[in-house]
Amino acid sequence: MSVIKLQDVSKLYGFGDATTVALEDVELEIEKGEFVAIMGPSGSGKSTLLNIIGLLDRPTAGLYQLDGRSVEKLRPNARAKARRDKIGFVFQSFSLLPKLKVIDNVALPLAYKGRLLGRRLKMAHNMLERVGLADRAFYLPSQLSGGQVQRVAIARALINDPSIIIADEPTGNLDSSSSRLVMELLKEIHEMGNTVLMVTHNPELTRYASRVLYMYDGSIERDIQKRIGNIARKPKEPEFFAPDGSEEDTLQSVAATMTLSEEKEAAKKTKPKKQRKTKRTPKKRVKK
Amino acid sequence: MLFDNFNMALSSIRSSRLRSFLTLLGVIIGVVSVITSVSLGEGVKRQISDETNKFGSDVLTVRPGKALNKDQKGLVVGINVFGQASTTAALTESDLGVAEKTNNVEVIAPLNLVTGLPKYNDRSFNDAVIIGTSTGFPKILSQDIEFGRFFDSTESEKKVAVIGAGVAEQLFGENVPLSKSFNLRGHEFIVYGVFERFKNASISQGIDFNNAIFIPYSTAKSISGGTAQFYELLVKADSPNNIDKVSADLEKRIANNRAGQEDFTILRANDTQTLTSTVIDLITLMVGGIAIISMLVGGIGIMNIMLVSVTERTREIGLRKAIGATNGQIMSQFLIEATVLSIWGAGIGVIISGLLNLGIRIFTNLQPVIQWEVVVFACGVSIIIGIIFGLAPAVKAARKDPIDALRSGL
Repeated sequence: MSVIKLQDVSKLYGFGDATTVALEDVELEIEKGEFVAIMGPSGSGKSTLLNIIGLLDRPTAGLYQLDGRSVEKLRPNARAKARRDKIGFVFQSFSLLPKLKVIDNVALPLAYKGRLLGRRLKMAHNMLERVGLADRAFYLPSQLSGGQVQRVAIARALINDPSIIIADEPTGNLDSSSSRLVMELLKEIHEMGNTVLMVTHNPELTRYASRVLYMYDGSIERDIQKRIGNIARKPKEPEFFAPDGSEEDTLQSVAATMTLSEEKEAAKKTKPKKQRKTKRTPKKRVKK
Repeated sequence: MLFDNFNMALSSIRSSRLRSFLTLLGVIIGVVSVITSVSLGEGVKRQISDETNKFGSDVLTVRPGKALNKDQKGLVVGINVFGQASTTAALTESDLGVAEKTNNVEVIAPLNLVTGLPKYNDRSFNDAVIIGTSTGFPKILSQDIEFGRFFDSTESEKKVAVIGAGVAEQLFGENVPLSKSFNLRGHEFIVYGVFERFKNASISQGIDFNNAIFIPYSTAKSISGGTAQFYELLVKADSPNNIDKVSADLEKRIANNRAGQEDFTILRANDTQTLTSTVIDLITLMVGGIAIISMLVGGIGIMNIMLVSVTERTREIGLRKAIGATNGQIMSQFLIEATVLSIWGAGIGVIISGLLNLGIRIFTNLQPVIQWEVVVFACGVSIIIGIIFGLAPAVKAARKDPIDALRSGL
């Protein structure tokens, strides 16, 4: 059974003339034990997808099953509880509460679950041992390095034994050596059987993933299964990037954008993806 | 979780000490002023009641002017605070004469104020009050003479004096100036005795007996031009049981003597108390009411700072929500923080009012009394205000959208 199953999930922001489509009819299934990396330019809908999978946001349309349970209609408190129990978050920055000690940060999800203090601290300590930071348990986050902070964040994400760990550019602010340590840790927890979903801009990091998704304009353009250890090849330019047709076609399309009929205007609003295509084509041409 | 929130609140208050303190100032001032004003009022009331009790429950005070309105049952229904100022008809010697003839009266002491500056060698004592009275005075006050003796009835025309301890020190510069003489309005007076120090400085009469020189009222009359005008008659009944009878009899006789005009007041010990305590209660209530307003202002201060805090910690709220905090948990966190702030304020306020109380006791002759009911009330009100004004920021925090909160750059 898949951990995550999205069916025709769309997300729209704004309404009327200002409507923007952040996700468009996304279909996605993630099986238990997968390490999925999501890549794509900014504005391609990665974060929106992550927020919806992470139950921070609701899809405008579509179905979402987490652990076989339909969750798109849950009330805010039920979603908070589902986040607490089934999802572990690792953010790019400000992953820890600066005023709490490391161990309290790790134990926080347990506190929200209502576990007793003694048990909480014991579990948090075990988890810190697992990420190799048990000796820093009583430090404040400000006394740790960036890499250590992210490892503590991973420990916190793991503490409730979640169905999936969502990491949003976990190494975005780190130098290469601490970045490596954090990725090795993620790899390790993946090997222990955890499901990991990671957003990254760095193609190097796809080395750790078993599956890579490329997103573009709110859709998943490519979905590649790969062997762990290999860097995913840079995807071919999507077809609409490649030069097509003759110069006359281009001129025609330029003319077309200038004399767009009202119907096309309306069509464009619901599908801005196409609008972008037509705009980009002539640009490419001009460069050449 | 509650305990964690509590700790969290403490640490977040500690991390911005100055701001928290400034926030608390409103609450602190509110608590201090409520406690202090009420305890001052209560203290003054008790001091006055001690003083009237000193006269004893069998002593009546007759004063010129109508000070109290009573109903048929003798209960005080109205007070004329300025009554004594508006009347000029002081009590006279003939009033004293009829009062002395009243049945069941054990002893009477008139009090007659004489102006004049006592001089001893080349020293003088500006604060001295000269009171003409009779031999019964120490008995009515139950006050002992420490050195020497009070003048007796055979000396009522003589120029003799009994002085308070304050006069002995200030005018003579010694504790036992017995048989020394001083000059008053060109007459030489001989000191016969010194009173033991009066414990309570007199507030109700406006006279400190420790700074008083007591002379026979006949002598006082003769040195001040022939008429004796008493500002007060102290009448002691032979038994506390007869006090009603004596009061009624006295009233009838003096009224008769004054041609039926009732421009005088007969006060019992508890009447004087009622008179003053009603006024003091009113003032206390008013000051206390104003103090509660300052608590309210303190509450608004808490709300203000909590709203700032919620905005500042948007990112924290987002993170907490992402890792599974429900709206209720976020709300209780901020509500507890506001409550902890106001508890701190109340605590500091109580400590400061305790110190202030001590200071007042040391540096003035007032003795404020802090009642625990007032402390509980002041703390309770300030904490309730903290919770009420903490509610809006807490709700605001709880309603924050986790995505927006996480995205905020703070």
